[in-house]
Amino acid sequence: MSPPLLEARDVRKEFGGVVAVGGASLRVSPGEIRAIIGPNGAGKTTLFNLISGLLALDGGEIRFRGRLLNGLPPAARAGLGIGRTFQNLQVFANMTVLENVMVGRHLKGRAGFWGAAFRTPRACREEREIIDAAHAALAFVGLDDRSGDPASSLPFAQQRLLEIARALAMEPSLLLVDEPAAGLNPAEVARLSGLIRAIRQRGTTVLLVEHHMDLVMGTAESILVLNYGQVLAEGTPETVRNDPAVIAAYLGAEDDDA
Amino acid sequence: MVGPEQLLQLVLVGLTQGAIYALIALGFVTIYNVTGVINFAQGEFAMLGAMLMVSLAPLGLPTPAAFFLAVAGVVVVGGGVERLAIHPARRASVVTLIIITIGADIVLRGLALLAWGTDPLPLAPFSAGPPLTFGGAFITRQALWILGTTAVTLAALYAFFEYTYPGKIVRACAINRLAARLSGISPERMSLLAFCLAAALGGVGGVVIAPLTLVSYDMGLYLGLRGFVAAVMGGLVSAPGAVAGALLLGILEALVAGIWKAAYKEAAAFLVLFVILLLRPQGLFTRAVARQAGL
Amino acid sequence: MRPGGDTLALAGLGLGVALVPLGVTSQYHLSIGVFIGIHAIVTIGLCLVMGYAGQISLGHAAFYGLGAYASGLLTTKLGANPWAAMAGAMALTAGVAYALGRPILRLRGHYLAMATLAFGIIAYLAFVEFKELTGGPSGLAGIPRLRVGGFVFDTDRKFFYLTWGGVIAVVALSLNIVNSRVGRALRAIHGSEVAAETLGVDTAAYKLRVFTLSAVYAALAGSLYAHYLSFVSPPTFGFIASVEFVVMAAVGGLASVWGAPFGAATVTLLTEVIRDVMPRLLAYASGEHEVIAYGLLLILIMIFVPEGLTVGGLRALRRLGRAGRRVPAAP
Repeated sequence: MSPPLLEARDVRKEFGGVVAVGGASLRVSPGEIRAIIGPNGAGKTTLFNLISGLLALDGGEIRFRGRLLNGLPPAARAGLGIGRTFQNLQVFANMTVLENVMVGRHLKGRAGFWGAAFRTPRACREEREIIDAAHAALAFVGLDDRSGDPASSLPFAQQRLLEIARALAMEPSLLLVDEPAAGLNPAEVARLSGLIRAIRQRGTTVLLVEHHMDLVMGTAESILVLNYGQVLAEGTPETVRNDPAVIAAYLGAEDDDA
Repeated sequence: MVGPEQLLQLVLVGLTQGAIYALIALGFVTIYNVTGVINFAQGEFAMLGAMLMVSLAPLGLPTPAAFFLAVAGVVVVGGGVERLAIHPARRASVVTLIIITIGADIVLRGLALLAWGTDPLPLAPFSAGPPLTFGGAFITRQALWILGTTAVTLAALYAFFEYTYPGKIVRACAINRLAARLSGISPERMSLLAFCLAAALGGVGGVVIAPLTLVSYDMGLYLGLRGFVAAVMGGLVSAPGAVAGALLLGILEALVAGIWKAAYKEAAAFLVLFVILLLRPQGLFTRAVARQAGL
Repeated sequence: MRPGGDTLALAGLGLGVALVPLGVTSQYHLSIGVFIGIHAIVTIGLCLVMGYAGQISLGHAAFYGLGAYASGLLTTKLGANPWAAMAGAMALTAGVAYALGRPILRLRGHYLAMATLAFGIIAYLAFVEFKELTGGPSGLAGIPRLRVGGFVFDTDRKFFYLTWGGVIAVVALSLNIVNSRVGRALRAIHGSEVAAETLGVDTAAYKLRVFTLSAVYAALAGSLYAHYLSFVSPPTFGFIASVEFVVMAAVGGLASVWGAPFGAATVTLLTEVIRDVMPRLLAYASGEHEVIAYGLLLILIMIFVPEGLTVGGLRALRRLGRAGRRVPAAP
């Protein structure tokens, strides 16, 4: 078994007495598509925030490629290859679609104030590369025709895709996707499923938080179920779907087809 | 070195000045708690209170009547500022609102300049007579009026917040604005009430300090900035913290002026502000735990 | 990289600057032009900080003053060449801004505003109090003119060209920055600091750098001021001045490099016009009554056009254009 890309051990996070995540552990292998599911308030987004560094751990540790992440600021974690999208969209409304994705390319450039101000040849060359890479990322998710539009003019579903393209521009090793299917119709969900698989095909490991069971069961190879901040179950879609504890806590009686 | 009587004297002077800062600081805290705005014009409310009191003096009214009228006048101005400048922009950003209150501050100062000119105006103390002695130090009768009035005002404010319905509503807004609105409390009415309250507090401060200082159109900035420092010492949200901060600030300024140079007193307030913002922006007295609702 | 419109506008500005002194000959009017240029340089820096990085600074006159005093002191007390003094003043101010920015830029919103306010006032008090160094309230006089060989910048017309050459350079550099990787990072910070962080943008470092840059611009402006008037004194660099710069930035439009000179021009001209007109309207009014109109204007603009006059003006023009094009149907 290959060493894990991401490993979380006994992760704890409290908010003034409320335990959001209480001793959760997980290991993600490179090339996986892993889903995290669970009822609202189970701690899924908190876990993402802990992995990407927006929140500090109260206990436990998180390692990426064996390297301890505790105390590392978010920008540094991005530099290691961890990208993410947001459940409540954090699109840069003050920029165009293309510019949003170009920000995703930030770490691939080096031009600073000086290079920018005086338009050195290296800065200009870099800028062209950034523009090309951004267009490629947009084309990958199917948004290239909207590249000049203000980001806020996109409908929600497309803003979600924009966030994905922006994170992909980073060429991350691990991509955390937070509830991308919210508000999508079945056709869009199917396309999203294909997109996630294509992302994995290109070499990015995907960790997915999602409520939409069709997307989860159809795309993920391994599922982690969180409930009240703790791991309730873990395994293949089949195992999890039939686990009585999971059904009781979250899935309920299956009256529609998965 | 400074002897104990001199020290006591400085402390008394500082407390007196601090009492004024406390009233202004409470104005900041009230408006900030209810609306989230920092009212740059707060100091001008004190200036207007003083100016109105000076203008009413030649009418020969009994002091309590003049006091009441002056403060009432400032309340009207405060309400006017809220309705005309704040209310139309209530959905604007922090930066925009700060700039608007700066504009209001400028307008009030300009109007005062227009109405009263540039010369400083004197006002007779509320009760004539020599200063009283207290433990080897002197305390002027006006200083006693200041301390007394401030104490009464604080008590009235406390009673208002604890026991009256409008007061409780204001407190509700301060604790959780969203929940208050969902309970049917109108944020617009609360905003107006907060400004009127802050204007009253500032006005009272201006009225009682008027006899002790040269009242002029530009005294507001000085008082406002110090009241603000005191409010920040209380974390901008705690009324008792602001009062404690104000008294400490007054005493600090008096000590610095008395023991070193009077000129350094100017810098003391801002150095304090600076240090607090860097080390403990939540204020000296609030606990570090975020008690903010709607997180 | 730089949008074509900007290049055209820069060329237009250059042309305008070249032509103005040919038509405007009054020393008084040219000196107003110089001040507009000097103010514009400070305001552009403030726009970068406030509009793009979303920070606020209520103490920028301190950097303006540091630049002026540093230039003055380096030339009068150390006999330095004025150009070297200008460079030195900019470097010194950059150092102060960097040291100051590191701790205070961690603060948000109101707290940051107040920290910058406190710093501005402390700097002003320092200008007043350190008499042996700064000349105290009486100020520092005898600052030498800027010169290139035998050519001395000693007339209003020459200084007008010098200052506005500086403005054009600063505008061009700032536009380059805004339309670059750095500018996008700044705008990202303003758009969503959280998302920017997760994309690898070191927000603290960028905020600090843009703050420092804006201080350098202000120092440049201060240095020009010092070498223009040959004299500096504290009141020019107090709290009121800081407020005026914020007003200029807000009026022009916070997130607009082009808005900054426009805002600076509007506010400076307005101040002059009111100072000119008020005494004629009100018999006893002194020059200070402009403050009322000033404050009222500020409030009205912030209520009705909070994104600034440049953006608001463009919007209004577009709406007029559309209205004009709506041809009524033939009867």
